[in-house]
Parts: sequence; C-alpha cells; structure tokens
Amino acid sequence: MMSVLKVDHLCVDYRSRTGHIRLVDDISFDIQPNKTLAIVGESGCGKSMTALAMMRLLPDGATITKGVITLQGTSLTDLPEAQMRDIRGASMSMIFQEPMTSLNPVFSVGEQIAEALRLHTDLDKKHIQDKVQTLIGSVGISDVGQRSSAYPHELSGGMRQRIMIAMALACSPKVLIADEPTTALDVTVQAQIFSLLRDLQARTSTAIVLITHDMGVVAEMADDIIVMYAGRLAERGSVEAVLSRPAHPYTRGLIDCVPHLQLGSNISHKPVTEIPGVVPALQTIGAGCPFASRCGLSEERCEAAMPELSEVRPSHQVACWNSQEA
Amino acid sequence: MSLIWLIGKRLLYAVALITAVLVLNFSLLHLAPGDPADVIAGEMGGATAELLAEIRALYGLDKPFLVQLGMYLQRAYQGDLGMSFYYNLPVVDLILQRLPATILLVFTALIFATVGGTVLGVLAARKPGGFTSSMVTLLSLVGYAAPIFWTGLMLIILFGVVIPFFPISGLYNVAKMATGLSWVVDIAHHLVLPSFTLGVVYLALYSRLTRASMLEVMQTDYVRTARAKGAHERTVYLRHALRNAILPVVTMAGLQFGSLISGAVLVETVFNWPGLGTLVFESVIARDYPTVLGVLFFSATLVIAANLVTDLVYRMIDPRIRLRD
Amino acid sequence: MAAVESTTRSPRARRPGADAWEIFRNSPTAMLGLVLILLISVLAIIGPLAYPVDPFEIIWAPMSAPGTTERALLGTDYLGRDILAGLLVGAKATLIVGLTAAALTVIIGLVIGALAGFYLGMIDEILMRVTEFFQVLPPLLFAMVLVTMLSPSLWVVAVSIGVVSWPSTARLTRSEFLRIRNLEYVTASRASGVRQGYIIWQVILPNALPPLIVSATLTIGTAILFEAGLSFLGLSDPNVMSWGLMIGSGREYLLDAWWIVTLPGVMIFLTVLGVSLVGDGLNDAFNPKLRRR
Repeated sequence: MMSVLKVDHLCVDYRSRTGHIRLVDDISFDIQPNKTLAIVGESGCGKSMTALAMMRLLPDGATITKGVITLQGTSLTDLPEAQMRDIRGASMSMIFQEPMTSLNPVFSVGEQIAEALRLHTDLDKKHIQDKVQTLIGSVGISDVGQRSSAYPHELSGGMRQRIMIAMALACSPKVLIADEPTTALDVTVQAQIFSLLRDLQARTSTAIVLITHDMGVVAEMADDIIVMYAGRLAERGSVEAVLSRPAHPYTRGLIDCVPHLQLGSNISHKPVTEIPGVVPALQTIGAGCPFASRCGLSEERCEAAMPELSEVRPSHQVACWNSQEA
Repeated sequence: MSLIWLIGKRLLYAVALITAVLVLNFSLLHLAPGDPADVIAGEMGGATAELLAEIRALYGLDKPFLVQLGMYLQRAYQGDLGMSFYYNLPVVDLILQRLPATILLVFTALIFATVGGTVLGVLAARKPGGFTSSMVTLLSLVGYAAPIFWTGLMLIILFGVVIPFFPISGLYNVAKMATGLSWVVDIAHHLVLPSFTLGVVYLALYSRLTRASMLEVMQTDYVRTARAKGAHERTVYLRHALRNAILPVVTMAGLQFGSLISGAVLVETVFNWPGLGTLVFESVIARDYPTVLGVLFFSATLVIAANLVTDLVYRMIDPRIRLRD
Repeated sequence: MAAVESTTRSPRARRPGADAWEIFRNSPTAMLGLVLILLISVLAIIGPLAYPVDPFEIIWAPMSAPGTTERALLGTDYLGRDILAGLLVGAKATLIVGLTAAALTVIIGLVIGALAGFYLGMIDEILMRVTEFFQVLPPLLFAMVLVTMLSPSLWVVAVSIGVVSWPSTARLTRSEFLRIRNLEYVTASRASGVRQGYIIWQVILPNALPPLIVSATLTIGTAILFEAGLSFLGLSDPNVMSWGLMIGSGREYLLDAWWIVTLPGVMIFLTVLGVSLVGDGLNDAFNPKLRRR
C-alpha cells in the first residue's frame, strides 16, 4: 500500500552556544493511510522533535540537517514556507499535550475552529458556522450551540482537547499527529479521547501518528510502532509483532514497566521491573549504542558502534547487536 | 444582567471613594494651620472682624465638626466646592474653566503613549536585539530618568532657539485672534510639545512593557497551535499574540492616571498651558486652599472615573474575567 | 542509623545574594549604574568639602556661561551664584531627601502589604481599601497640598513623598505574600507550629525580598524625581539649594542662559539613570531566566 507519509533518515540538530546536539538521529518510518503509528520512548528521546520536524514547527535553534519527509509524494523538507502553511492544518495537523494552554484564551472555541476553515477553504461565513457546529458535535460535545461561543477557560481539559481535535480535523487532513494528547488528562477522560480518535479515524480514514510514553495506550490504539531512545531508532514494526516478541532490550524494559493489575489472591502478581539508570545526556553519547550503559546484555561491540537496523521478521526491524543471532 | 449589576456595584464604590476624598478635603481644610476662617479668607490682607464673622456664619464654623462635615458634603454634592478668594470666583467655575485644556493635554498624551508604545513594542519584539529593540531600551531608560519638567524645558530650548518649529508656550496664539478651523489648528500646533513631553515618559514604559509581553506571549502553546493551523506569521503575531499581549498594557495605563495628572501639573507649568495644573500651582503659591483642595478633589474624581473605565474596558477584552468580581 | 534529630527551627530562606551578585557583576549596564551612583554619592559627600563655595553667595557677574571664567567653572546663574557649588550642595539635598522618602515609602508599604497579604480576611479588606484610597489621589498634587500646609522643610518634603508613594509598594508586597504563603515550605512551617511572627519575618519575607529590593531601588529613583518636581515648583525648602530649585528658579532665563537649567537636569538624569540601571541589573540578577534584551 502506498504510504501517506514517509520519513527517511531524518536528523534534527540543535545549535546552542556550546555546540551542536543531535536531537534526532537517522529516524526512518512510514505511515499507511487509515492506520495509527505510535512513536514511543521516554521524555527527551526525540519523539516530539520528530513530530515538530514533520510539521516544520521546530523551535528556534533546531533544524532538520538531513533526511527527507514526504507527504503523499510531496517533499516537505525543502518546501517554501508559504506552501508549507497551506499544508499545516489542512493536509496534516497536530494536537498537543497541554489542552489547558493550547487554545487562545481571548477567542471563543467556535471562532478558533472557524479560523482553521477560513485559512484553508473558500467556504462562506454561513457554511463555516454550520461546519463548526458539525465538527463540535462530531467530537462528542453535546449542547453544541452554547459550546461554540464558549471561551477555553470555561471548558474542562477533556473538552478542550476535543475542541483541539475538532480544529485539527476541520479540513480533513490526511495525517493527524497527536503529541501525548492525554498525558495531562484524567485516566477516564483519556479513555474517552482515544475512543473518540478511533471513531473519527474509522469515519475519515485519517492516518494518526500517536506520540506517547505509555505502552498500554500503544497496545490499545496503534497498528504500528517505532521505539526511540536518545534520538535513535531502537525498534520498529507492527504492534502485534513488537509487543508480542520485543527484540530490543529497551522495548522489553518498557513493556515490563507497565504494571498489571490482577485480582485474586492465588494469582502471582507480575512484579514491576524498572530499567536501571537514566537516559544519558545527548551530548555524552559516543559512537556506540546509547542504551549500552543500561542494558543487561551489553557487550564490547555495543559500546563500540551503533548497530544497524536489521530485520527480525517481516515488518519488524530492530537496531541491536544482540538480536542479530536468530 | 450581571454586567449591569457589576457596573452598578462599581459606581457605588466610586461614589463612596469620592465621598472619602471629600472627607479628606474637609479635614485638611480644618487641619491647616490657623483659623479656618482666616484660611478661607486667604490673602485678603487683614480680614475685618465682620468679614470673619460672615465667613463663620456662612460656613457654620462655630458648629461641631461633624455637622460642618455634613454641610460640606451636602454642598459638594450640589456642585459647590466653596469660593476662591484669590480669584473671586466659585471654585467649581474656576475648575470647569480650566478643565478642558487639561483633558485635552492628558488624553493626547495618553493616546500618544499607548498607541506609540504598542507599535514600538511590537516592532521591537519582532527582532530582539535589533535596532528598534535597542531604541526601546534606550528610550525607556532616558524617558524614565529625565525629570519630566526638564525634558519639557530642553524641548523649549530646542524648539524655541534651535528649530523654531513648534510654539513653546500657551494654548493658542491670542494675538492671532483666529476662529473656527484655524483656531483648532493653532491649538493643535501648541499641543504638540506639551503632549509629547507628558507622553514620552509613558511611551517609554509602555513600549518596554509591550515588548516584554509580546516576547512572552510568542512562547505560549496557543501561538504554537495557531502556527500548526497554518496561519501566516503576521496573523499569528498581530491577531493571536498582540491581542493577549496588550492586556497588561491596558492594566498599567489605567493604573497610571494619577501619575499622569501629576505629570500634567509639571508640564502645564513649563509650557504655560492654561489647565488645572497651572491653576493649582498658582493657588498653592497664593495659599488659596479652597481652590487647591478643589483641584485635588476633582483630579481624584478623574482618577476614579479612569479606573472605572479601565476596569470595564479590560473586562471587555479579556473574556476570562468578564463577569467575575 | 542515628535517629533523626528533631529541630524547632523551620526552614529558612536561602540567601539569593551570592549567585545574584555574580550575574550583576557581569552586566555592563548594571555596573555602569553602580559607578554612577557611587560617583554622585562621592560628589555629594566630598564635593562641598573640597569646593567650599556657598551656592547662595554671589561670586561673579550674573549669567556667565560655563568656561568663561575660572571663578565659576560651570558658569553663574541669573543672580551671579556659582552653578558648580549649587550642583555639589544640591547633590546632598537630593540624595538625602530621596533616600529618606524612599525608606519611608518602603517601610510603610512593606508593613501594610505584609499584614494584608498574611492575615487576609477583614484586615486585608480594610488595608486594601485604605491603599486604594491613597492611590486615587494624584501623588504630586497631594504632596503639594501637604507641603503647603506645613512648613516647607526638607523633612516635610521627605515625609510627604513617603506618605503619598507607599501604595504601590504595599500592593507588591501583598501580592508577593499571597504568592509565597501557599508554597510548600510555608505550609510546612505552619504545620510544625511555628509562631506567626516568625513565619512573616523569617520565612516569607526573605523569599519576597528579590522583587522588593528591585522595587525599593526604583522607588529611590521615583523619590528623587518627586523631590525634584516639588523643588522645581518652589515648594521645597528655599534655604537649601537643590537641583530642582536651580531649574525652577532659572526657568525664566532659559533661552538666554541655558546652562542654569540644563546642568542640574543632567545631574538628576544621571542619578536616576544610575539607580534604574542598578534596579534593572538587580532584576536580571534575581531572575536570570527572564532576561530580555
């Protein structure tokens, strides 16, 4: 199947007064239409930077230094800004982690959704109004008329995130990037938001890039997964394959970190294991595998050189010396 | 409905404040050294016993303090702030005569400062470290540190001697006897230097505040969302960011009305601008307490009114506190 | 493991001094400000001793320009008095009044703001109403009234300035107290049963100090400008030569003898500039992450 978004060997650098730091190192993946790809990793592993790079919304100082990002055949990496603006919010949109601060406090939510439509469509005022109402209804908010003239501070976190989703899907994008959309919300609301995203995807065939650090969410929501560590790709494949037989020690560690609630006294509880150590500072990573210092299986060759991506099974690749055997 | 109730509450409070100022006025009048009757008679040069008795009866100075206060308040609410013996006119008349000139000066300066300050601040925030930004920093230091009356005097030297481009004194050229449009133009011509002098201090302040506010707002999540929607950078800047960034400027401008009036006193004195400032200056020299206190009261009322207006304006532009108290 | 010792002392605030000084020292504008202030202070203290000319004494022909005679290096005013002497003596008057007024402003504002912000409730309501009332009166006008009613000596001027300027300090102190009182270490102090006075003065206040110090510094600048304004209008002590007085009295001769007005103004400007640069420097030093240029 023709992928809708392709990222090839993406590298993002950050220039500071003291030098360059590589935030994203040689990441490649592609996204199929109507599928959900999860990008997983701990804080600081570069997953948000990857997402921002795709939208070309990198913060000051960070730049794409290598690699190509292609959206339905169009290369995004050297597209002129004016054309990139046409794509943002229309063919590709993004929702962020903090619904509490991601909406402009001085405009009503209806107005903010309408703006997305005004920017990318030729609809007249009346049609835009109608579309806004429809969109608000479609994200599961009742009492649409009242809500659309409400201001962000009058809505709960969950509702604000729904509005963000409505805004992002207003122009029927091909790709929706969701950067930890529920991390700041209660668990019950989290479930609602994901259920909403699933429904919307079924209806609109949008591909979703879901950034998260929560393996539980991945298991529920995603079709494919890539695991990042310290800016590098650790493992990549379909969720089925990767979660049932994780090939990278880090992935295994992440899965083991998810506590399992079990009832009944005679069932032994699986202990929650932790991954010892901390993520190394990006400046200190040498030529070898960045996970080596925390990996139980590390050997000399792990410190010496970064492993290449090798195939474990069809649609399952990993970057680890130790999984070369088998 | 709740908005009306809110305004009503604010108005009541304003009236209470005004009354408090009147009480202060009255107390000061009676605390002034010497016999209040003498004080009121002012520099009449040897008030006669009959005159003093008249004054005492008129003002009820032989009655207890609270009764006198009540009479004073009653008169004040009817628009009588006493009599100026220096000018031989009711204080209220004097004030109303001079009020328009001061209002003109203060408002021109305020508009100059807020609009100019916002524009400069926005431009400076676009390029941190650029020319406009350095100018804003420089201006804000100089504008604040130079005494306002001195700035005025320096401008007088500049435009009186070096470049005689603007008139340096008065409201309009009496000798010209202009009428109609040319009179208005003449006033405008005379208005330039005084309002610039008064406004420049606040221009410095507001431009610096706007710059800081814009820089802060540009880092927010909602600006990032606007960009993610595909909005043009200019739209992001002027619509999304500025709309939020000016909120602190509005607050600050409202808070500074009292200081603005204080500045107006100095500027009017320097430029011989016939407003409340020169009135109060002359009255202070002449020890004409009723007038002095009348001006104090009036300007306090102006400040109260300005605070009220600012509060309402702010509520209109910031939906987060629209009807909250 | 040894048992944890109980202590009756609750957490005290860390002194922000050391790191802040580091940042301050490295800012050229802040150091410039400091130099200006020190220079002017030296002039004020040593000047009249090194150059003991009475600024009220007529020493030469009136309205002599600066540099035209060595009897009066910076020229003479409309009566023939030495401008340089006036500047030196004026420095002392301006600084004394400015500092006294600022001190008064800060003390009154601090106490009122602290009480309001700590005790809240009725005390807060009353104090805030009083503060609002004072804020409604235009400061210069109010001060003019006070000075006119009492005799215009330096102390009256200083006290008047203090009496009309404290509201903004009070507001600042109050908002700082409101902010800090809900932070964890204050709650911890209260939970360990510490005296209220201790909490106000030893726990909250030291942490509120950075913005208060910055505000106090700027208050000095405002007080100096205020004093200059009052003496310009002729409302200060006529027997004490101050910069504002020089400008005010020399105003009529502005176009013919510009130096009478310009030079004292430059002195005021430099002094207040020095104070605000230091204030800005302190602000940056205490909030390094908020630095803007």
